[in-house]
Amino acid sequence: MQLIADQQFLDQIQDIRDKVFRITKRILVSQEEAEDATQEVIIKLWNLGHEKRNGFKSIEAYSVTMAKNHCLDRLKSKQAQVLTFDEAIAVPKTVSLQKEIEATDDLNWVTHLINQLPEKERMIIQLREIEHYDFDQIASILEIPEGTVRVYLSRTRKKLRNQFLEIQKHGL
Amino acid sequence: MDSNKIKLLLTKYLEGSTSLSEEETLRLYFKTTENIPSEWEGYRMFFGYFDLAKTERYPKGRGKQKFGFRPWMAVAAIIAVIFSIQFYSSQHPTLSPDQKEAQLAFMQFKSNMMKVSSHFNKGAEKVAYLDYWNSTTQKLIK
Repeated sequence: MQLIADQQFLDQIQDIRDKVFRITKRILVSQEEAEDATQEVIIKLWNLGHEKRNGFKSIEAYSVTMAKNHCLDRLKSKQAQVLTFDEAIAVPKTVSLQKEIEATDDLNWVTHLINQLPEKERMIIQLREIEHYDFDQIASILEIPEGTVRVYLSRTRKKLRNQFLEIQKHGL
Repeated sequence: MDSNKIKLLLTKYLEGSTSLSEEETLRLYFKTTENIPSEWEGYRMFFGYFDLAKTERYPKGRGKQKFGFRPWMAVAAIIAVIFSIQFYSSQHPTLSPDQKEAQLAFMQFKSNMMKVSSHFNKGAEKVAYLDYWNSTTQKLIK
């Protein structure tokens, strides 16, 4: 009986694990850290036990919220490292960036633009544009009002568009 | 798709007020329409990136991996055991009783010779002293 429950968990978890991985990677940026964070989230889910897991309205929403909290805690607890991480992605928009953009393909360039956003905006982009969540789902995951989600999303979309236009003007 | 409608949707999109299905319309438009106004190229790029980003998966090599037993592993283990026995016995040859006796005799002979040589050295030291005495007496004679 336990074995069947375990197998169910593994099947159920596949999609969730991929989602959690994408979201943790968006927040933490580093591939390895995202892998570790994903494993920790999965282990926490596992430790909840079969009964409790099935009691949730949506195990996916619960997992994603857990992933988000885990990542934010991680960023907070490693202030020093967060600093270097911010430095690493905040490349000044100078000639060197222009060269870098030309050297890399479009997708790397989009990754770069998104990764330099503040983490809240990165999360919003991930949840809406990539995972296609409803506004109320995003609101409950991020624990902010729906109106705020829309404001953040609008601001982030405009920001990305303007950055694109600016670079396009300089001839990409 | 009418580009005026797209323009309207894009305005809504920037305001954060498009629904998921309207965003799907935009996604499809940029994916399937070849000629679009150049100022929209950025949208095409972003939507393309979002599509691709959704396909990213948790790496396969990670996590719990079951260690499967394969028949060739048994064969490899047997071969390894045979070779290690052979190697061991080639490094430590077993001796027959005669050889053991010969080895013992050799060891005794060797220790005897060591004793002899140490006594011989003592003798040599004395001879050296004698030599010194000789040279000093000769100086006196002169």
